[in-house]
Amino acid sequence: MTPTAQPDTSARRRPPEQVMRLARMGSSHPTRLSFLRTLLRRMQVQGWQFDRPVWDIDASGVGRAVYRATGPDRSYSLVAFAHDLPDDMRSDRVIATAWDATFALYDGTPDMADIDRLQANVPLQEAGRISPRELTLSRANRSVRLFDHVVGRLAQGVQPDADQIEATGYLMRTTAVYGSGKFGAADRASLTGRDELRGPFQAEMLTVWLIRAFSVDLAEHLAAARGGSAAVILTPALRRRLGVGNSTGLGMAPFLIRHPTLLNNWMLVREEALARVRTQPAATAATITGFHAALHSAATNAAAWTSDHPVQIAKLADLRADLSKIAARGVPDTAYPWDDLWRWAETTLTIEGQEALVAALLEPHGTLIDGLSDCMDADEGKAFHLDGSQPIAQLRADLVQHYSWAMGRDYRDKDQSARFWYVSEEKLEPRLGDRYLEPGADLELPIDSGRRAAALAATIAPWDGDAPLAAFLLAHPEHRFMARRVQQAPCYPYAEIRDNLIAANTLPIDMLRCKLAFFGANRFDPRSDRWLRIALFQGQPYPQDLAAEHGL
Amino acid sequence: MPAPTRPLPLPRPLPLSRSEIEATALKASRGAGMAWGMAEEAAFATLWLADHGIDGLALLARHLDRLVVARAGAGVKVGAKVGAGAGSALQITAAGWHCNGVLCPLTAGAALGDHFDLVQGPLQRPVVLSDLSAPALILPFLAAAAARTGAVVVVGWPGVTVVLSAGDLLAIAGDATLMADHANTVTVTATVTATVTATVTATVTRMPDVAPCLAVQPGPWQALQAHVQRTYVPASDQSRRGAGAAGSDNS
Repeated sequence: MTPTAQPDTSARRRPPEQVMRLARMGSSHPTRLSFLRTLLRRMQVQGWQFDRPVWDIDASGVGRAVYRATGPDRSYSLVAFAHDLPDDMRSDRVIATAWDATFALYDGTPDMADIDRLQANVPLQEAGRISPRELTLSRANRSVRLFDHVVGRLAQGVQPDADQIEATGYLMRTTAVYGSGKFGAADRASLTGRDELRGPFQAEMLTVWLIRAFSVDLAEHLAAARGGSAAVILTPALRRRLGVGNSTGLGMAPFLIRHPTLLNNWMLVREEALARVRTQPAATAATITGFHAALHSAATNAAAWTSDHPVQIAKLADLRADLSKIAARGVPDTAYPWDDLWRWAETTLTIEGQEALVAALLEPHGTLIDGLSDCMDADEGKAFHLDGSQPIAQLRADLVQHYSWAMGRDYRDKDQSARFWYVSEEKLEPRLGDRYLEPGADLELPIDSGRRAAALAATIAPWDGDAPLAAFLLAHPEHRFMARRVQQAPCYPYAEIRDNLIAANTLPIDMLRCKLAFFGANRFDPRSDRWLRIALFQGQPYPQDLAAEHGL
Repeated sequence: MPAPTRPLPLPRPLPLSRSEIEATALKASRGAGMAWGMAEEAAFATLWLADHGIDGLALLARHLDRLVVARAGAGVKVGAKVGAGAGSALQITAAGWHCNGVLCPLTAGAALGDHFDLVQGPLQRPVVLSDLSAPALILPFLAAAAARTGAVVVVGWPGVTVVLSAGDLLAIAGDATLMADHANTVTVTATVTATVTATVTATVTRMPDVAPCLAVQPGPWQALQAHVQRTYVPASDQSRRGAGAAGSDNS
């Protein structure tokens, strides 16, 4: 296939003022550009091979195992340690100190000395130390009820209950997956040039995918140990319904503010993909079929997706109703049919339904958009340095153009500044405090871009517009943080969440859902406004299925 | 296999990842009272030095200790929203760059980058900085400006001359005082004139590839951690509530 010039999509690209709002980001759905999908597609195309060179787990489920993924140039190995964890120590919180299983992703094939070194450190997680030979560090806890059910049934020679599998959706849930140089691991920069891991969070996604295989193997191993020759293994269909759970909290939210150019690239790529689809003058039979299949799959997922959180319950009702409306409407037989459908959706559907439609529209257009996934990384150093020679008038103009959403709000109002983000001394967990009730606001994290933009605008207003920004920053180093973001805005218009992130009514879970959708998570289930559970890789192939898989 | 309860003794000096160096420098600088935007500059500078074989964390640790002492002397509360200077602001005059006290190299470095090609900057006229703390910490800012403008920058203080070009360290002459904690006078000259550039670069030998300095000595590490610690809010029952599951996770 030869690359062809893309038609101009800018007229159909949704602008940042529409996309970068919390309400919409908090309705994000995974798409085929999500990071776990990118990983699975690339491994399939490159013909990766998988094996399990070490399985040294005893009849009580304690021991170690190695899962190896071999790409065209290198191997990566998940080194897994299975522990005997008393129930009273099982906590998904970052403050936990022991887990059912702990893992590291090793760069290559570890020898016994490597595995021994990891065994002395990986079970300790944050209290241990890994090396540049490792790419990730993670841990997982069993979903006790389902895990016990599955092991018990398989040991008796019968399959587990499909409804119970569907209700929980995973045998284990990770409670942290650390990468990018954390605790001594290899830096992201050291992966530069490795085509097989190009893109955000690919090593992390590979880790979780291999953990999923481990979780099933462990359950089947325990069933065999208990049931002997009577035991059976999971049917492929039931196995497929199991993903890896993830329990996550506020820690993910500051990431989106700390990495503005990365967030820009994720959002811009998704919006460009949608614009490309809308710019197609006609729909082929294959894309129409693919679109309806994606809608059907979304409806099936929505039917099984449950939550006890009132906000999410309402959103799920919106989603189910909107998916029915889209199916009833179908693909119009007009010029630019996808654009036609999109314009209808914008005037008819809830935000939840509109964002679900984005995912369904992208699904059958892989050849048109999959290449965009190469643009989702960011060279964050490139955008770092301020241009001190910029005239102050230009910075003010950029504030007007990109930060008008932040102006005209009284941040002294308690509702507008009710929250502050901080890092707790307790295991360095990011938390959200009440500014007017709790101590610590003087140690606030710079998550408050809107308030900072307004403060910058007020302070710089009386300055001579012809003067260079350098003079202002010399007098006001406290505005340097925000001036940098404003200077980045023209090149990175999707870098900033255009809402007040310290307002009383801000829902942190909206930020989490956006990030998790880019990972490829489904079954987003908030347990409060501040933490939630999701599933990764549910319904996706296992290592042994990958080669024969269609439509990744 | 019971989970070990104590970490193994760590080798000294402690090997760090680049992201750990950056994060430590950022948080320590913030903990020592710098504004967030300046703390980001400190993190950039520390990592650049580490990448170029210079122990930036040690330089930063000693500088931050002096900064905190100077601020305490000036009655400035840690965490107060003030600039990066040691209690007093950088003055840029035709006679030189100075402040009423010891000049902070991060304030000076960021300002050198910001003013690089402006009338007060080194591209227009040589800059003389007086009474500068940890002078090597200004090098990364000048290297970045050199890369942006295509200039060659020569930085000197007693006992050392450093040449920077295209974002990299080109040469160091007499580096006995490279890690100095203080210099009375530092001069910075920059040029983009091709002939001068050629003359300067011809007189220095490109340094052999330096190995990154991705390790930290125990002393500076502990000093930095003391600053980092000041960025954390002590845990309280109130702060624990709502941060995650309160009950059992045995579901």
